[in-house]
Amino acid sequence: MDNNQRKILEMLADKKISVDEAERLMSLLKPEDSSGTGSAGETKQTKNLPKYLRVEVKPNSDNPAAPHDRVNIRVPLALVRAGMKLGAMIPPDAYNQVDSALKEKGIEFDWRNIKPENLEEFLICLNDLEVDVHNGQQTVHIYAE
Amino acid sequence: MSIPPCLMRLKIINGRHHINLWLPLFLAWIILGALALALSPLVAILVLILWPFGWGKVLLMSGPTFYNGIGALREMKIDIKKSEEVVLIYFR
Repeated sequence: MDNNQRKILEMLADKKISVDEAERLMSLLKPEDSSGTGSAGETKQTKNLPKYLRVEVKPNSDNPAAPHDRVNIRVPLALVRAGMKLGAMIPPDAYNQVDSALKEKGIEFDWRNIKPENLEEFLICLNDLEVDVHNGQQTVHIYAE
Repeated sequence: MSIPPCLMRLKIINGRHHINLWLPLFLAWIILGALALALSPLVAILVLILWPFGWGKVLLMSGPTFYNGIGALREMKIDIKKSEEVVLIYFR
């Protein structure tokens, strides 16, 4: 048991956090923290990665006057990885041109700073993404699965 | 390594069109694969010529990257229904 897990348990024992909060904090700890280093941790991390980004637009069933438009989009997140690989192929000269064009638009962003590890972290964080928009007529639901 | 989608479903229904197709993409991959194999000596020469300018690596890696991008399309689905209009694009 590592320090983080011990702290969470101490906070739970002191009733500073609820059981649900403790469970959520435990799940947020990196897999290698809870299951040791090596392949087991990596396997668990891979398992947690979402595969698809879903966008759904559904009519509000409570409102009979609502339009019956429906949208159901499923985008494989492997496309993001493929895009990253495509980005890695860009020669340094082209990168410099992209950077200068972005700076002209007032965007201080260096694409070279995005590493594959960052992408994996981003994909793990997508697990918690959930956008729900209700406007009385339709519901928009964006999530990763 | 992901396997490219073998089939694509294309469904477009509106006032003017009624299209409902299963497109055999695997046939296109066979043709593209044969074409890539035939052009590989030419590509190898181009890679060697363009290497000093920084574009050789781009050309060399474009094949695997294209393959990965196509493979990532598997299970992609776009399904839009609006009153009497339907658009469905599904890679399988």
